[in-house]
Amino acid sequence: MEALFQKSNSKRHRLISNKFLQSLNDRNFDLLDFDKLKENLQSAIELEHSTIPPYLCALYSIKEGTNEFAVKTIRSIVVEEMLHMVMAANILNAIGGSPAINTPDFIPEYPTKLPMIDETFMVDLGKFSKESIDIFLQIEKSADHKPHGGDDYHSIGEFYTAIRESLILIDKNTPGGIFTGKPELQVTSEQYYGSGGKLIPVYCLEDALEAIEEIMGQGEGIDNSIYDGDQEMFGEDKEYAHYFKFNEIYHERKYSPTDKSDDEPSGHPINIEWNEVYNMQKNPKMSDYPVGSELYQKTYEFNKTYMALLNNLHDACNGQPDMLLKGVALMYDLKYKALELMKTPYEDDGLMAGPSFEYVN
Amino acid sequence: MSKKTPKESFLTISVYLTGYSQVDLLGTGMLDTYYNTFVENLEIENVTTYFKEVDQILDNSGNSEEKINEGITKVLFGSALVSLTTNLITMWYTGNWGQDVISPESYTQGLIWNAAQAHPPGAKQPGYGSWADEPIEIPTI
Repeated sequence: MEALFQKSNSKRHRLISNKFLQSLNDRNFDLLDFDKLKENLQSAIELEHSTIPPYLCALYSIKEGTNEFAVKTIRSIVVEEMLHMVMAANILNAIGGSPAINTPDFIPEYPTKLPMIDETFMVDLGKFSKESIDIFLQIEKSADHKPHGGDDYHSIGEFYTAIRESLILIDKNTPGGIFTGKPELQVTSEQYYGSGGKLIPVYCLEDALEAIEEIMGQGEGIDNSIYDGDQEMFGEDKEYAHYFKFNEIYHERKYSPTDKSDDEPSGHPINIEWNEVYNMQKNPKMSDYPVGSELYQKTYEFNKTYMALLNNLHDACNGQPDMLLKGVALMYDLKYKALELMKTPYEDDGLMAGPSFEYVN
Repeated sequence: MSKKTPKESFLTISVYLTGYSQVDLLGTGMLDTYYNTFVENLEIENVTTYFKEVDQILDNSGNSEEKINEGITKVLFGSALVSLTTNLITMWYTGNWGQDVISPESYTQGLIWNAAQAHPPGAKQPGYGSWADEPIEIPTI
């Protein structure tokens, strides 16, 4: 088992990708189309981002002082999703593209399907609940866990596998390689202070592959191991991949060291209090409220803050990497604004308002 | 005239007394706590009197802000009720009832922090290093 944890494990590469690559060939996927590769990396940024608002809603809805395990777990996952987003932008920058993070269609309209992923489940903005964790499990599920078929990608891992192969092939077939982007565009670990995970700057193919490994490992786990690979770093505890972290919450039980990836967690029970949450209405929209009403205004202010954060990330990924650190204050502000909404009753049916994560000017 | 519960009256009059909107006040999540604190710390007759006066002000105002403020100045800041009214305002702003902090949440949810564009020391932190930057201002409308 331990050998499989390791990064740059060629056996792992083959295990994950062989079957899928075969299917790519079967459907004439053009791995050599450079423009398509850039498009896919932009989609990867959007895909990583699309998971953040739902995870944040679940996280913020948990009442202070309760569900400690779930709070810690979901927070660490959100941080890693943001890192994934920035790393996808790093790869795009490294091959001369320009990430777009603040365009009107960047934020999906919830409930939404995952960008690029051909699955039927819809992702909501909603409170922490067994139902929402079940959806999060589907988001993070690796394709090996479910039946295949159809034309599109069936998991985030499959999508990244296509990107990875495309990077390798195009780089090899381009004289001088494709990693010609300006190095100063890279967001590095200097612009990020640790809450788990790491931020990999991309200057060459090897860096890009490492970044993709990191993204895939944290999401689905590596080779169906429940660990995410980060534990090799000095001083880090063994970290489970997102799928397995959510699975522990779902089953209210920790994994025991001998559990296999297909097992339900069989370790110590975890105290999950599903009722200790703000009863946020699902998928709130500004249009739910009369224009100019107080709730409309509050939701608008939340969205303005969210846009400020996206603008900040956009700038960070387009030549001003130092902006990332400045964004931290915005992230906190966003949380407090979301909490205000979640504490405000929406009509008289016991439901609360909530953050709507909509594009505003 | 109106069929308001005392808690609703409490919220409505708090909007006028604090200068914050209803959603701002609800967004602190402290309405229940503050209402209970207010009621529990007073003699029952005083509670009844206070809400009777509040309802009268609200009901007779015809929704005119000016009239409500007039009533507040005359009655709620009148010699009989002024100490209750100042306690109520102080409670929203500082999370204290008199000298006592009502709860850990009330400390962090005090309106004073918003009013000062600051954050309660030790809570609601704005992020490492943020003190080096100007306070966030996000223009809205």
